Amino acid sequence: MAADRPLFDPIMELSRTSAMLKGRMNPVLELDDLSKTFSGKKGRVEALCDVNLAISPHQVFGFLGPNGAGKSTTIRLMLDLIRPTSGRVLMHGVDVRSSREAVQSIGALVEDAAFYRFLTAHDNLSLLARTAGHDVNQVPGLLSQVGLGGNEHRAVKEFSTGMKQRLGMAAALLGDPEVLILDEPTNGLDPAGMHEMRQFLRMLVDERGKTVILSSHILSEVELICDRVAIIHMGRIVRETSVDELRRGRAHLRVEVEPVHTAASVLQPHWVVEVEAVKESLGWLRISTDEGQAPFILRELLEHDIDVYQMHAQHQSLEEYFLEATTAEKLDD
Amino acid sequence: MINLLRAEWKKLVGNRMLAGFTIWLYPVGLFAFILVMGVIFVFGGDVGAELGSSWEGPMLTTWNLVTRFPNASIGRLPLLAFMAVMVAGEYEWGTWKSLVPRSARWKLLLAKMLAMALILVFSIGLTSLISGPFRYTFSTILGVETAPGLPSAERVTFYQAYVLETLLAFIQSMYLACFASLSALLTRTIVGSLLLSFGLSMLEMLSPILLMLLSRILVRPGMVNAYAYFPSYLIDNLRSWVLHAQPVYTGFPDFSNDMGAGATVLLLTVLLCGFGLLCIWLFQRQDITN
Repeated sequence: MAADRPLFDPIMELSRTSAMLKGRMNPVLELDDLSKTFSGKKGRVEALCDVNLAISPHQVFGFLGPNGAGKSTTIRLMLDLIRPTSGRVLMHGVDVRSSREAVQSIGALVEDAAFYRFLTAHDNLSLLARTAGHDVNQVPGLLSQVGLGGNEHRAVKEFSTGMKQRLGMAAALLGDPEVLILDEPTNGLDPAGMHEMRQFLRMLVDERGKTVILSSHILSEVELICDRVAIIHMGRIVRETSVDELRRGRAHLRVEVEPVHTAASVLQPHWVVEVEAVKESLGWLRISTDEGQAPFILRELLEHDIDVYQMHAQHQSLEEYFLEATTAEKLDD
Repeated sequence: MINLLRAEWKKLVGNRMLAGFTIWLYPVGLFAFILVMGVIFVFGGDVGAELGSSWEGPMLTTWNLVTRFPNASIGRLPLLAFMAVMVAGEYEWGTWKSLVPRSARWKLLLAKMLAMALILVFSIGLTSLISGPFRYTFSTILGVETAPGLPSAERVTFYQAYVLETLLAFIQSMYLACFASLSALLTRTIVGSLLLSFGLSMLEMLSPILLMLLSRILVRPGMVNAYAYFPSYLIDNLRSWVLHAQPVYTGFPDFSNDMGAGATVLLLTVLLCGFGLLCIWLFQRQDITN
């Protein structure tokens, strides 16, 4: 599904450029030839195979993949919940398996937020704070930040899925970690809650300098919030790109013109042009280029007395990119 | 570590429903029982002998719920159930994944085992206070004829014995915590952990009988001496050495392993550390996948 957007959005461009520049910094988290094989009743299952990934600081990094692709396994390896068969997870160059401090500088929300149902939200967070040796006094502030201000003394068993997810977010933020790993953070949230969560995550990155790594199945959400994405499929990273590159690399313009075939022959020496729909002499041209070329194309057409009725910039959506990446991998197999 | 212990304590006590039916069963049950006895007495029932008995004896024997056969064979069950649920529950509730990245695994498990043992000792200690001083005071208020207390010359011995029983109960509770942890680590389910920890506890307690049977079947009488390497024997033997300066008399035919006090303490420590380290080693290597 292609998405329409304005030809040029200076604020968006500035934000993307800033993210790109930030992306050139030393990686905060690295996966170095990471592999994991599980042994079970059905034999050995290779969940992850030689995964290499470097995640730069101060950005939202999207981690995508179909069910069973290895996303959760990777996240668990990052948190030292499971042991790699080979390879390392490095936090600022330090192996998380050899340094407790390295793991403790990562806040995480793994799959469904898990809490003690019989305890209140405040008690759950206090317990986690004590377990990590953090100050318990930060708990009320964190609960307010995630919108659970009035519910701190309610038992978690009374919470909705969305409230538990918010509590999970607060738990991840305990101790003000440098990196946040969030597995499906918008799970169970209503549209307003999802919007709030997006803004909150963006604020954490832009204003508080955090690095957020999130996995999600909601690709439109990922596209809206992430600076970079990696697609994992069958235990391997199959694509990694910035969202900006993704947009620019697969952009095209659609122009409604008359006469369409004359317009195509005018533009074809300079651009890759396809004639799409034609009704008599009126029709659509699909030009493989980004919106930066729009003025030149327009000038070229007008100089040849071609009528231009509409012009749209279109981009490949993340969903298309995702499907292409995962389908290509299947075909290769 | 203090923070971890506080966190574990909060978690253990916070599960009110489970704690109410397991670890608080003895103090609350006994408290209610004494109140009912008091009501029966007030309405003319013949319960004066039970209510007015001396307070020192019941205070000591309460600890048998954990440490001595046959009381402990049933007495331990609710306590073991509590511990099994609290360790295996972390797997079923999926809460390990929130805790493990925040603290070293060995610390987490050790804090859990210590907190569980302490809460058990606290619960049995509370029960012993209810069975002794509370009952005695309550009887006096009701006007029940009470038995005379120990002569002051014997008080010191009583206090020493009480401290010893508390210490032995703590050691036994640590063993139970190890059984529960080991069962939870191996099965990762509450039901599996309950069954396995009950099984381990019963096996340990009935080990002399099983060893006797086995020695008869295999015609190897010396086999029964292996009982000397089980925590139940070591705890009984330590008690006997401290109180009577001699090894415990088990009464089992063919049993002839009269272990000295030093060896008993050493073996008790080595076994406990061994069990604890085994649990920690298993947990350290385990993948937390749920």
